[in-house]
Amino acid sequence: MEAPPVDTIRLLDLTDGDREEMREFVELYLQQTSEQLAGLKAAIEERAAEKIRLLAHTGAGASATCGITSMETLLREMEMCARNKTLNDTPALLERAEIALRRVREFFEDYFEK
Amino acid sequence: MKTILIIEDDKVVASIYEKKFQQAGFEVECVHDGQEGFYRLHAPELSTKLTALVLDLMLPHIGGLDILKKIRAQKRFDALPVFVLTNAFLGEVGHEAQKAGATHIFNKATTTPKKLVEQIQSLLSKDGEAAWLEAPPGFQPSNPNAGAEQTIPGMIEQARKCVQALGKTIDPAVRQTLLLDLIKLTHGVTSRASVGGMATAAHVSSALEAFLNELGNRITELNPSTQHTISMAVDFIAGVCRTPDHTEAVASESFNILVVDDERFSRHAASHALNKAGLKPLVTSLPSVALQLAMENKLDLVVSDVDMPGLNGFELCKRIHTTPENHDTPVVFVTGLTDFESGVQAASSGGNDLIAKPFLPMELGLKALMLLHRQKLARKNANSL
Repeated sequence: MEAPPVDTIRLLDLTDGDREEMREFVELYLQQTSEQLAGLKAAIEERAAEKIRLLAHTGAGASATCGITSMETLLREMEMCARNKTLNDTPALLERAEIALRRVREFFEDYFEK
Repeated sequence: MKTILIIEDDKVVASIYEKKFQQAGFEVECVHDGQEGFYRLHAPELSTKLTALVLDLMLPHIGGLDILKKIRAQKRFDALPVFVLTNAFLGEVGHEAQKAGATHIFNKATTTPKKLVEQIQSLLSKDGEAAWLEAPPGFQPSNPNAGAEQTIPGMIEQARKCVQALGKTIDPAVRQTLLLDLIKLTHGVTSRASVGGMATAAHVSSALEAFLNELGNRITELNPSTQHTISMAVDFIAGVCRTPDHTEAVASESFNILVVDDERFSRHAASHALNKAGLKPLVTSLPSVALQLAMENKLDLVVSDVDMPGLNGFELCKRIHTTPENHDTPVVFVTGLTDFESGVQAASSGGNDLIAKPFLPMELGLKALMLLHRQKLARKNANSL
């Protein structure tokens, strides 16, 4: 069985279980991460390793803090690639991150509907 | 004469409370087990004259919160004043106790026995009602002498052994058991240090207890960073217990704490964690602003991300330490777990420390309290020379 893309306890910790605050956090996270993925796309096209590393690092940190485990794993991998200047795998990782983010969005749509 | 029942698992702590209440003119009975306490509450020879209940929340067999809920569900205990002893850092538990009908919540780490008796005397207004409920046949209360022989150094020694054993096993069930033992030991140290006037030890021990409780619910978070923090805290408590300071616990308003992180969620997590420990930090996303603040103010603690554009955390730390007032300001670096092990030694030098993100709120809170206390004690020692 596939692991859930989100560890909601992290978000509950951060917001003291306040559902409205949690919703605001999630919206902010989704918006920020979408922008970071767009930035990563441009940086990968430019093959700008340092830019990729910084964007992936920031995104991974935010994902870890918010408990978005699926995104954290992929962004850490991308950060590592950029750190080692081995950029060949980064387009595929970006594609996986975009799919993962869509799943996260769907997860939260379900979560807040309940 | 007013009669009080104390349900407190630590026999030594209970006997100190008992003596203080007796000196204040109370008739006192102590029990050291939740289940036994619950039955005693219903025994006619006691319940018909009971004025108030003093209830620790962490008890064997039935926790204090469950006792409170059970008795408040009975009409005859509606009016019984129940004074709860808890850990200030376990905010949710205190809140739960309040919701369940506690008359007043006392922070165990900072309420001395004398203060407890004085405040309860002033809060008491009427006697509780009482009624019957006998213990079922065959009920065996726990041994009232169990644990009485334990001393703070003995409990710390046992805690050290638990920490060492935690580092040697990956079996989740064994880890959970060791963590529960550690929670009990830390709870004991908090109580004993508090009644013994060791404010710093009691304060840090209660923060450690809260952190271990968070960890107990998230055993997967037991990693090199959290183990390092536990181990540091046990050593710190051992150190301050050797030299009792009899000072007040650190108060949040008296410290300048700065959080610097370019990532907004991490910033929020750090600030939220410090708030949980009763500390109120200033927060900035820009290392340049952090440096400016350090040039203009004495900072007591800095919590800094490592990888920031423009100026990384290590460089920022170096520059902060060159400012006139902040040459010894401790810095906690926040880093990813993958970088934690390689960085821990370098970052730990010079009074600084490292924490891996994502962290549990009380992990950072505990670290911050230790560093603040350490600084306060160092200044006190310097002034006394």
